[in-house]
Amino acid sequence: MAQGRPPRTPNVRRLVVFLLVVALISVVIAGVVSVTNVWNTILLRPMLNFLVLTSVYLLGSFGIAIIVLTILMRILILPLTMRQLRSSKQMQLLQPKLRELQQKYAKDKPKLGVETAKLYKEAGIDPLGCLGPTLIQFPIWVALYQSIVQALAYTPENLFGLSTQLYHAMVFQGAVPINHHFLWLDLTRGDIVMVFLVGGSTWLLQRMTFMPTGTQQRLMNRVMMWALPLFFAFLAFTLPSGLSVFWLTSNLIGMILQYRVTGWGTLRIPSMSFLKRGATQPVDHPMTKTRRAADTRKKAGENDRTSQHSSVRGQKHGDERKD
Amino acid sequence: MLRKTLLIGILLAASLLAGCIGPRGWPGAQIVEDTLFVGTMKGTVLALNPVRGTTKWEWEPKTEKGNISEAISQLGNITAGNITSSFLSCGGGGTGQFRGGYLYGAPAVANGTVYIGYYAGKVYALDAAKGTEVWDHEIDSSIASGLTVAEDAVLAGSSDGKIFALNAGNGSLNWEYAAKNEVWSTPTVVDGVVYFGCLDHNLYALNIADGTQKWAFEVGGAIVSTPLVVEGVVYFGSFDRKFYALDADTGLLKWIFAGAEGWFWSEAAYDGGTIYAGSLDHNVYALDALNGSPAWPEPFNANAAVKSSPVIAAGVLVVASEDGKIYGLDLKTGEKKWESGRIKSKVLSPLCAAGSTVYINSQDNRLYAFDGASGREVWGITLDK
Repeated sequence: MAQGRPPRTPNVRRLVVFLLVVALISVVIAGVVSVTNVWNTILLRPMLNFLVLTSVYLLGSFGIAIIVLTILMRILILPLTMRQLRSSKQMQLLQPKLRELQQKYAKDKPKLGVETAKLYKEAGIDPLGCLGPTLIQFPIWVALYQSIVQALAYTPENLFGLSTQLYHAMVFQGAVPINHHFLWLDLTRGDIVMVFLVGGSTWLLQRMTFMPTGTQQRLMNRVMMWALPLFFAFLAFTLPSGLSVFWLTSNLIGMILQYRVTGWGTLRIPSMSFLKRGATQPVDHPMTKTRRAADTRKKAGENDRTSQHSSVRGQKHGDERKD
Repeated sequence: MLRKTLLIGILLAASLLAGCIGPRGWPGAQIVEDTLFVGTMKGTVLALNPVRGTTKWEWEPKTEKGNISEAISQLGNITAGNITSSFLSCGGGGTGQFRGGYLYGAPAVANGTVYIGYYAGKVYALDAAKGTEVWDHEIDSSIASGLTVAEDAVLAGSSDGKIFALNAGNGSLNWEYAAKNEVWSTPTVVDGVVYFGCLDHNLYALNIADGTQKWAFEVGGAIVSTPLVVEGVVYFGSFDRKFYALDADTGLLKWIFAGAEGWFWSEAAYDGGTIYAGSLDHNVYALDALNGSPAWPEPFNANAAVKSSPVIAAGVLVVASEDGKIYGLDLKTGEKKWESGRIKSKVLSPLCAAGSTVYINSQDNRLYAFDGASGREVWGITLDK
């Protein structure tokens, strides 16, 4: 952040983010409406025709084509994704200090803003650092989404629209209609199994992604924790399952990347090792608390060691689990 | 929070930009004697006076929940589990649209009865004079083509790859035939044989009596165009950008025209030994019916895809392009006689001609009557006001 620049309060920051999102959506909508050809030529048509081509050569399966394209797109934007995740992780590590500041300056919002900005600056973090990578990914996801819907062409209108997007070579034109059966799925219809897979994987990713927050945002986080998976589950039920294949693949890749950078996050994975007496586990895990109470009575010295170990883990994971 | 906000933003924007996920239909018109029967974008059927465009009767299908308005209020506008969901559609599921009430193609009319097939998979027979329901028949898939009635049978294709024949009197199923992919081509019946195209790249000929296959001819692309059968020859275009002529009796190839650059979607027109076919490459082709050679010096360029079937009225070939422009062409030379820009919406429905008048449905739910000779708009009305 530049020297002398007035620090942004959380409300101002939220407003900026909101305006950016609205502006971006408006620009994209306006762009697609008025500069359709540019959008189609650069993004939509290449993706759509790639899908068609791979569906021809990969066992004639459009489902595999969706998975392949999703993976390729994920690889393409991997540097951006990693940057975004690292930025999130840095923010995560600052949360205890942020909470301290929030408590300290609870009644002095301007001061809180100054101190928060100072903290970010000292840590070398741009709080909006993850915004850039996300915005750059935006058109890619939109185009990928569009290309899947258009290539499936499950209504006469979609098929008619597809005629304008396919490349001229007969290998593309002759591939119509796309084989829309994949495993047990009819990719043009919603599927109940995909409802659970998409909803479940979105929930898991949410749990891994959520950062510990102040009390004010806790309720919002809880709402989002369930609202987003339910929203995607609803879409998986009502929209073609070809999109569910895309969401599920994307979620799984997202979980792998998230795990590599931030670990399991707020996701609690019951481990067999927890069941072993004396095994270490997160300090605020219910089992840990119970066992620690017992251990306190029996083994005071050993309890010290456990607490010491747990506190180290708590630096990394424990705080965020308090949410 | 930031990522979630953006994620939802992306999803909503993508949904908006995804184009027409849901169907909207392209209903056509059919004129019999002194009545013009027309389907609307909102799923109703109208009987009109063809001279003035005034309404004789209007019919809307009842749902289990009551009429369309009740269905909307009770179901919301979202039909979970069915691809007719209007949640992310491009407007087709707006106010007044009941679930699945999309019509493709023109109503079929015979023996005082009007037959219509809905995308929701329901076929209705209506009394042509009164507009009352005679019977209905439900299938397990969607109907995305027009119906054909011949020899006491109502024929329609479905999205699950079947073509079925219903008893025209009571709606009972006579037979069904399973092809390998969606049947979005309106069947044509001539001399007891049903001809239809399929997205499985085949043109089929079936016996109308029992649905047994007479022959099938495979081409290089999907077929959604309605076959035209004239003097023992079947004419149709395909997504392989070729136009075919087959012997109607044997299915043997007579000729292929391979000069187009886009898909053939609509039914061709025939007049005096010449076939007229519109293509999605923006051109209208005139072909010698005997050998497929071009009959005009140059194809007519309409500057937009020609999805609607051309018709001949008052000795003029009338074609509509996707962008709503209407053209009157000289049958012999292909030269433009007139052009109309009166329609301010897309035109995707098949055209209907009676005498010198051409009736055109536009995608903004309006119906126009044009004079074929001059291109003058006789009348234009909004359907389902």
